[in-house]
Amino acid sequence: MEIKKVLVIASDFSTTPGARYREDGEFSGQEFLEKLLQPEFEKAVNGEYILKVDLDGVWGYPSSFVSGSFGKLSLEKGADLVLKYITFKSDENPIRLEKIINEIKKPIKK
Amino acid sequence: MKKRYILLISALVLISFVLGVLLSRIVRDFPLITFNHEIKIFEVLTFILTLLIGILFPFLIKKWIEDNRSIKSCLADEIKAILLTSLKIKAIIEKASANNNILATDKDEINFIFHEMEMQIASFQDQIAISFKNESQAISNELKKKFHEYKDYLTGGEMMTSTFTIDQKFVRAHVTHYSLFERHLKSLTHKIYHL
Repeated sequence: MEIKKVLVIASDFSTTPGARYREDGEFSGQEFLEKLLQPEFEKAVNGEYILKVDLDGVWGYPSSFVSGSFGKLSLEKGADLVLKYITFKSDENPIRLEKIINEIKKPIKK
Repeated sequence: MKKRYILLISALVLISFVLGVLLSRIVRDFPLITFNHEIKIFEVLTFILTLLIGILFPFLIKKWIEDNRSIKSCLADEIKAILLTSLKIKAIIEKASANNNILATDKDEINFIFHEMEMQIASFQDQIAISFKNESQAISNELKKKFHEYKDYLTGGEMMTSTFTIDQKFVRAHVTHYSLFERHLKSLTHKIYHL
C-alpha cells in the first residue's frame, strides 16, 4: 500500500493540542478524532492506502489528547487495523512517536 | 602522538641497555653486581611483562579509565539536564498555586517543557546505547516509564481541562508525583557511575 494522504497535525489542526473531550476546552483529542483523524482513517481503509500522520511542529502532546484521539480510535477499530492504515512521522521527537504507538497498541479505556 | 611516545620509550630502553652493557665492559668491578650469562626463560618473560606493564599502564589502561569516567560523567550531566528542565514545571505549578490560578498559557508551557524533556531523554537514550549497549535498554525503558508516569499524571488528568481550578490537594499530589520522578533521576545518576 502506498501513502496517499499526509495529515500534518501542526498545520491541519493545532500546534497546542488540548485535553481529552470537547467540553474540556479547545483543540481536544475528541475534536481531532472526529474532525480529522477518524474521517481520514476511514478514507484510507476504504481506498486501501496509508494515511501518514506528521507529529512534528507541535509544542507537546498532552497525555489526555493522545488517549482521547489515537487511543480512542484504537479502542473502536482495533490496534492492528489502525497500525495497518496509519503510519507516523516525527523527526524531532522519537519518544512521542513511541508513546503514540504504545497508546494504540495498549489503549487505556477512560 | 601515541606512536611517538612509544618510539621514544623504546629508544630510551635500548640506549639504557646498550649503555649498561658498555659500562659493565669498561668498569668490571662493580660492587655487589655480577653479570650472569645464563638467562632463564621465565626471567625473560618477567622482564617483558614488567616492561609491558610499565608501558601499558600509563598509556592504555589509564586512558581507558579516564575515558570511561568522562563518558559516565557526560551521561550523568544529561540526567542532571533532565532534572533541571523538570524543575521548570515545578516552578510553574508553585507560581500557579501562589496565584490560585493556572492559565492556559501555563498548561501550554508545561506541555512544551515535557516535549523538551522527551528530546533530552531521546538524547540520553542515544548516548548510553553507544557506550553501554547491554545495560542501555533496561535503563532507558525504566527512565521512560517513570517519565510517562509523571507526564500522564499531570497532562492526562483534570489539570488539562478548562474548568480546572488549582487547589492545595492538587499541589500536594503533584509534589508526591514530582518527587518520585526526581528520586528516580537522582538514583539513575548514581547507577550510571556504577556501570
